[in-house]
Amino acid sequence: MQTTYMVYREETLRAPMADNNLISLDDMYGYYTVHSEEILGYLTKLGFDRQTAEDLTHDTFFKACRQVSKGNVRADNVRAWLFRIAHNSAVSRFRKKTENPQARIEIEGEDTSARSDEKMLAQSIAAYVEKNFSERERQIFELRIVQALTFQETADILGMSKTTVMRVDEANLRRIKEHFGEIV
Amino acid sequence: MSEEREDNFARALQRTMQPMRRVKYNPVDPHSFEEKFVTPFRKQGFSLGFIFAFGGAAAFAAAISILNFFGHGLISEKPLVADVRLPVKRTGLLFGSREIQTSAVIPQRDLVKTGESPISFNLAKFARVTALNSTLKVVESSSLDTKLEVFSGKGIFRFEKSDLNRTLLVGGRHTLRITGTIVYVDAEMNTVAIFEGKILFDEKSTIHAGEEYSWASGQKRPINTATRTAARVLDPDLSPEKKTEESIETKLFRKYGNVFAVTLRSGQKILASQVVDGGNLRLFSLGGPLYVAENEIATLQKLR
Repeated sequence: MQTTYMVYREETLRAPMADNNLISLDDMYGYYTVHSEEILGYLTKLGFDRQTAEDLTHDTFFKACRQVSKGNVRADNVRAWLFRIAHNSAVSRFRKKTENPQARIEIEGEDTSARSDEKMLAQSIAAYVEKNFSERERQIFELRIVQALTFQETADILGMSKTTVMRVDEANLRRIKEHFGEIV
Repeated sequence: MSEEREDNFARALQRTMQPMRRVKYNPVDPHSFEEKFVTPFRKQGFSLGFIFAFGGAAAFAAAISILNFFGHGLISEKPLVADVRLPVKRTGLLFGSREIQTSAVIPQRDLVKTGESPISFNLAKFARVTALNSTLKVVESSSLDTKLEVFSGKGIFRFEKSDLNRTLLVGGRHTLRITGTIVYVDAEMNTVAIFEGKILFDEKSTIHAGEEYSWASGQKRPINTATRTAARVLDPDLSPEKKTEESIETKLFRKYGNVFAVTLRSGQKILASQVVDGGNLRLFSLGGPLYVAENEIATLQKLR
């Protein structure tokens, strides 16, 4: 599954790029197809209900298209860029609601290729993180581990220093390791 | 720990958590994506600069001639929008085609919400647009083959004359009635979404709240998430859940600090705040400023 995804992303989305490596509006549906479910997954785990998360996902791509139309978005790391837009949209929504909803981690429409025991383990870890981690720790866990973004990308999205992300991530992993042992 | 020396545990955990990465849902189809997300940001084909580049001084002279021909010349200084002096910038003028475009020309602050204030203005000799309370009437007064764009609420309507004839013509006058206040039309003006009230094209065709209509397909359907999102991005307050939570009067008072009930000599009533601006009384509706000559005002009563 991962291989297929990577091939699609690399070959389908990056190949048609112009020489200047800028994204065009014509590329956006491809990015939408590949990344919208990840964005939706991230927003859902931030605590939004399904409808709101879908709205924010659409917000994300609408804003992305607007930015792309200005002709200055490079194709270097679109995924992290989309996550940053999604995160900022989420923060705006939080502020608007003047509330900070508890993160709600759930599995919806999970990858069917995963074995059931793996899914149960993933679910257990998610529940543990939800219960025991602070909001910042959860965000870093979500971006670093679940979405597999780099330290730098995570730092950019959350507006933190890379050092902070690395420190929190290390602590996160240590706690999970202590709780779940080496079964991961 | 560095990215390069990321330990095995982290990678194993990433693999384990991979099923949590995505949430499946039904994404919009390519056509809808294009319509809702991409089309609004496509560049316009023509611009004034393009025309000048194309024809230089000759094109400019031709433009002036055409404008004068249409009766709203730059020379005569007759305002393009007469009664409400909204700045209309011509973004394209096709030489010899008798076509004028006014697309995407109205700044958000100058938009006037239908239903919140009556507006009346002339779009040169092309059309007269009157919105009174919750009704928007489009009256075409020229036999020229032209496009007419009318803005209302948070969007801009574009009508081809053929559309007017087909769907809006009532006894020689084109009438579009919008009962309700919040309408969103996408930037290509192919879709109209009604969040409240209804839109009446003619006696037989009505689009109700919660529906959107596409001129392109000629079909109506429930407002989808993409439309809602697009509308909200354009205006964060534009949400079905947030409409009319407080009265117009309260909103005006909160925004401008005073509220007047204004009756014009034409009989129209406006709920607005006001400041005096030169010889005109500048009224502020929620949608933006309106300019009304003082001798047009019959009564002015301060409410708050």
